Amino acid sequence: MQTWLIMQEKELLEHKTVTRVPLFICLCCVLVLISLIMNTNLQNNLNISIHTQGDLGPFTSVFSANLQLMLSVIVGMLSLTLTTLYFAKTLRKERNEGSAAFWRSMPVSSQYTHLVKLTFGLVVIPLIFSLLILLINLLLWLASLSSDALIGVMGEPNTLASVLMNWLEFISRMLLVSLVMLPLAALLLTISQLSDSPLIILLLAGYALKLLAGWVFGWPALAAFIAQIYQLPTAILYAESPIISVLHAGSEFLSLYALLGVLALFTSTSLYRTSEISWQSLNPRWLVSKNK
Amino acid sequence: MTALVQVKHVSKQYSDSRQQAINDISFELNAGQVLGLFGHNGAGKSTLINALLGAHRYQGDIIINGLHPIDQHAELMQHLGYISDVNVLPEWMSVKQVLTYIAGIHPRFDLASANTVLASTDIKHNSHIKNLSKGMKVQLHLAIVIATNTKVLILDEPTLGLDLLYRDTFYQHLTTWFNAGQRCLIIASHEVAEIEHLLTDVLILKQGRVVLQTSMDNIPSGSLAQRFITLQKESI
Repeated sequence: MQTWLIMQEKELLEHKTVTRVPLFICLCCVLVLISLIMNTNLQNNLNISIHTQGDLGPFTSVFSANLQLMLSVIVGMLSLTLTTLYFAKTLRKERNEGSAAFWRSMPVSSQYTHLVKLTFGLVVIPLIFSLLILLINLLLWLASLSSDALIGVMGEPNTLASVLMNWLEFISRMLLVSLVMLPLAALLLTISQLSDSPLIILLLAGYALKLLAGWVFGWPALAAFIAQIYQLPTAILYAESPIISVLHAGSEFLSLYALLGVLALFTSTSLYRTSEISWQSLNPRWLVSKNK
Repeated sequence: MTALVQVKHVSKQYSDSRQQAINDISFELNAGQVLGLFGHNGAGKSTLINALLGAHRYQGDIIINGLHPIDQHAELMQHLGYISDVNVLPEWMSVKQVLTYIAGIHPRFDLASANTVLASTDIKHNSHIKNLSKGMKVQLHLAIVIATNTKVLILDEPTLGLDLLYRDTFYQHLTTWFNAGQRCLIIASHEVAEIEHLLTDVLILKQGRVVLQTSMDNIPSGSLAQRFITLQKESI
């Protein structure tokens, strides 16, 4: 456990963007709130005219739900972007900066290194961004306590419990995104060991394969499969019910996608065992050997 | 007694080359032995070192401290240290951060020992590695290796580019560390005369083949450099 924590801390130190981006957004949010509270003229000049009959409750709850979904999508997309950039960079960086030999001299196996990096990209980064959601909701809640009608409407959730609920909902949504990102993450780790431009290769190769499969070879199923791979993580972010969008992908897609992930993970861990790229590395015998 | 390093019929051919980088190399090293690995550029020294470190695949058998360099890499790295001519320490880390990291990862690392070695240098704990001079980086790396209490240490041109004072300090620390335990050492270098007095054995490579493999007892004192030049001039 100590090894795992130390290695996670090293990733945090090495990839400072992961903490700096949410910190910057936090700072912006705090400044916006302060300016809203301080600028009394702004409140006086703002008028929203709502014409409704009956109870105002449904309007505020729908508006609040949309606001939460919008926040969830924006912060989730940021988290997803940084996760993708992290996987494209992490193994390539140590090779390019010349520290690969140092990390290889540590008594840590290729499998454990991969476990640490996957956990960092798929769990730690979304958790950091979940703190951003927590902070924004706390700010909205504090704003709603100021009892200003406008901020009160915009500032749902207006209870501490709903702040926590929104936070937990975001975490569960992002963990589902991470789960479907796992094969893509393994694929990025593999490509980043073979090329200095893993993201470009992944995007270009993906779209080229999709176009060729659909237009040239006449394999629409393959084209649909590739399109689904790229769309699923963002579909979960946008969906009102994330789990439905996963189930909607179908068991055939999910099985094939999982198989792709297993193959990519095996390839990446195999390649990382030595510093030279060799087809011999892909011999799966080492997996069943008692000496790993 | 089982040898700490066993190399049997090790060869390596890179996929983009017709020629073998190293060809049928065998040797054994026990505790207390210091092997000097010599050869001109491209002779195969680095290829052999990469094979020993498990960084490159090879044909033949290598066992270090009873462990396979690739299949048991993580376990082997508890007993094997390596310092090269280029800095491999992560430059974005501070000295304190790198020491804390190794202390948390390496079960044999003794932080107090590393601090003791560093106390005799000008290296500050809050310095970033990128701001250290080349000599300081080598000193830091040696302090790390000394503190990890490894049984086998491989040095690849460790003093290249260092001034005489740094070289002297480096070899002082190295000798103290070597004499303090049951260890063996492999030094690859072009500075034959500089390290001759440290060696117990010598292995000279030329175009991937062994052209001299003997104990230093068989070489008159001070004549290794001349012997090396003569061998390099002779055709295989």
